[in-house]
Amino acid sequence: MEISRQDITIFVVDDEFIIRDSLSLLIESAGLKVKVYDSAITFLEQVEISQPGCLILDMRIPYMDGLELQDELAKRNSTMPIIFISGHANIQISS
Amino acid sequence: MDTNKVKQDSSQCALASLKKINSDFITISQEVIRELVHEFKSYQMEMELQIKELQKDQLQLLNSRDQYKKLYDCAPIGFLTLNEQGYITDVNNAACELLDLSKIQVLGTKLFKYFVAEEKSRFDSFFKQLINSTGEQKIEFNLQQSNMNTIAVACRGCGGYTDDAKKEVLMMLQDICDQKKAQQAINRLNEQLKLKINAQNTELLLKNEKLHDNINELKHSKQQVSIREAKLITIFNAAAEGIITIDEKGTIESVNRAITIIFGYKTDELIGHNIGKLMSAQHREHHAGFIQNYLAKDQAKILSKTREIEGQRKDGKLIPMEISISEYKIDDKSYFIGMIRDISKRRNKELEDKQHLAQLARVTRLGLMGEMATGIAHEVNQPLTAIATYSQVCLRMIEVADFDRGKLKEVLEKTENQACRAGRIISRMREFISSKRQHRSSVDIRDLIGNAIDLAADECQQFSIECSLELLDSPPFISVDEIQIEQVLLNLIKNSIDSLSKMPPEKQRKLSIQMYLNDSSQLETRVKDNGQGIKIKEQAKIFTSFFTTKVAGMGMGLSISQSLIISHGGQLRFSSIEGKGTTFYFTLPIIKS
Repeated sequence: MEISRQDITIFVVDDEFIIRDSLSLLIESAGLKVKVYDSAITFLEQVEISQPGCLILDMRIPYMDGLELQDELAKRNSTMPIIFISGHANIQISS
Repeated sequence: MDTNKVKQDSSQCALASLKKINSDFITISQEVIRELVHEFKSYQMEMELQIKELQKDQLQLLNSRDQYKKLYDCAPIGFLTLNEQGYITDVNNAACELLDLSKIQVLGTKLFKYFVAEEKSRFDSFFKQLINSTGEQKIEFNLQQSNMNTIAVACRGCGGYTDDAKKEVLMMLQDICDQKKAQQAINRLNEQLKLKINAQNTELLLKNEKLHDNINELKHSKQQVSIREAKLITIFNAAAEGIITIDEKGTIESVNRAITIIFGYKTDELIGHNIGKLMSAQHREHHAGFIQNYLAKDQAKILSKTREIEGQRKDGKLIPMEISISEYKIDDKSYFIGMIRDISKRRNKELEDKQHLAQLARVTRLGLMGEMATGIAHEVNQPLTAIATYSQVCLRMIEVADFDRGKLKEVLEKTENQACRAGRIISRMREFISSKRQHRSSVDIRDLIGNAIDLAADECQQFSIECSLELLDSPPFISVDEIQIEQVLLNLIKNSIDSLSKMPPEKQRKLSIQMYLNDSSQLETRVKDNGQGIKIKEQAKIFTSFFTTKVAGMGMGLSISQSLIISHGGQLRFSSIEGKGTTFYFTLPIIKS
């Protein structure tokens, strides 16, 4: 099934406003739809995870961090691809 | 007496002549008779002459006797004549008066009976003595008058013979009552005088004793005083503090040894000189009218308060001193005692301590920053990431031919903002690490709390710590070194984060910063967590340098924090329950408006 570029939504989960803001501008400039969430919880509450799209996820977010959200999505049989981002250059710290 | 003798002689002659006549009578011739008659006649004439003379003598004698009798009766002294048996045979008026009886009543009575009972026997023996001798005897008796009054009499008596050669006693009685009374009065007076003298004597003795006591006491006091004086002089000279006394004019009265050591002058170079000699030129000028001013206004400002002034040594070197002045008065004149302490050593020590503390604080700051470097890096990284992304957005936008200039401007402004934010974080870090800023400024502690929270925000986020602030809406300002107090806050926050990070993930991790005004009008700030708490056996040691519970800690954080808070006039304390959490709270004096 061919998925139209218009049907794809890029989801951004980051607790930092400026990161959400700058990323959404950048994604929009590439002609893609973008939706932003400030925490993993709001993302899970508001997003139908089976829809086509991609998740850009910050590793370090309060209450439920990026890896925990990934586990949760796996539990819910989500196939949504996840791109992790982190302000921390070190993988050890980020996780 | 002579007359009687003559009579006797004449009659004897006559008798002898008659005998001669009787024997020769028969043979008498006429002639003889004539001769005899003649002789008789001449005898007769002679006799008549003699009789006349005798009569004349007798008259003279009677006159003299009357005179004597008058004298006897009227004499002021009582005269009595007693016969051998003690009966009164004669008495004069004075004697009757003494006995308070008439002459008739007295005569023929025994004198014996007029004496008081207890003296009768004494009189008896006196009387016997008089009878048996002719010498004069003297004695004093008490007579009892008919009216039962007793009178004292001096009695003088002598034995003698009556005309018919019987023994008799002549006695003189003299009333000595007045004399006695006078004597008694004199005796009484003497007695009184004696008593008085005795009393006075006793009094004088007592006074004397008291005086002796007083003298001893004074001696003792004097001794005590000299002991005390010696002690005081020793203390005075041994005191580490300089002690100096001056009069109202500022003239130095005395100095102790410490003064000579502090100022480098000898004692005699100071006594009698003005106190200004020990002051720096600046203080000297200021001090000139100081005492007069004080005395005039009677202000207690300079007294009983320790002040810091600058003194000048003999070699001209200025020395910081602490001085406290007290006043004492002798005879309404004021004197002042100054206690002077050379605080140059202390000053140096304080300076050293301060420098040391500052160095330590800097090291701890570096340590803190090091520990938090990753978080801070993230803090800076965020705006940098945003800048990079915004820049990409812009680049992409301008590739379109008719791009939205308004939108581009908006994104560029956001980029600029983020660049400024990164710059602020960097400069805050630099400020925090550098120890150059030491001055105190009037600040709102909420700003400092905000800064500290900013620096720790990343770590709070990392460990899912819910950070809440309960601050006063308009807290009073405090005068502090911002960086130092920020360091304390950051340190406490960092400790809380450290403790909270070790808690199991399911537990809600809470950090809260609260603010109160406490009873003593100090601003109290609390940093409270619900972390592990501090073990009781560790609680006593946590403010000790180099004590740490952290694997990589230096053990300086709390020790430095406490020093910083104390140097601001506050206190840093804590309460902690193992397993429940810890609250650190510190107070800072507020600026009074």
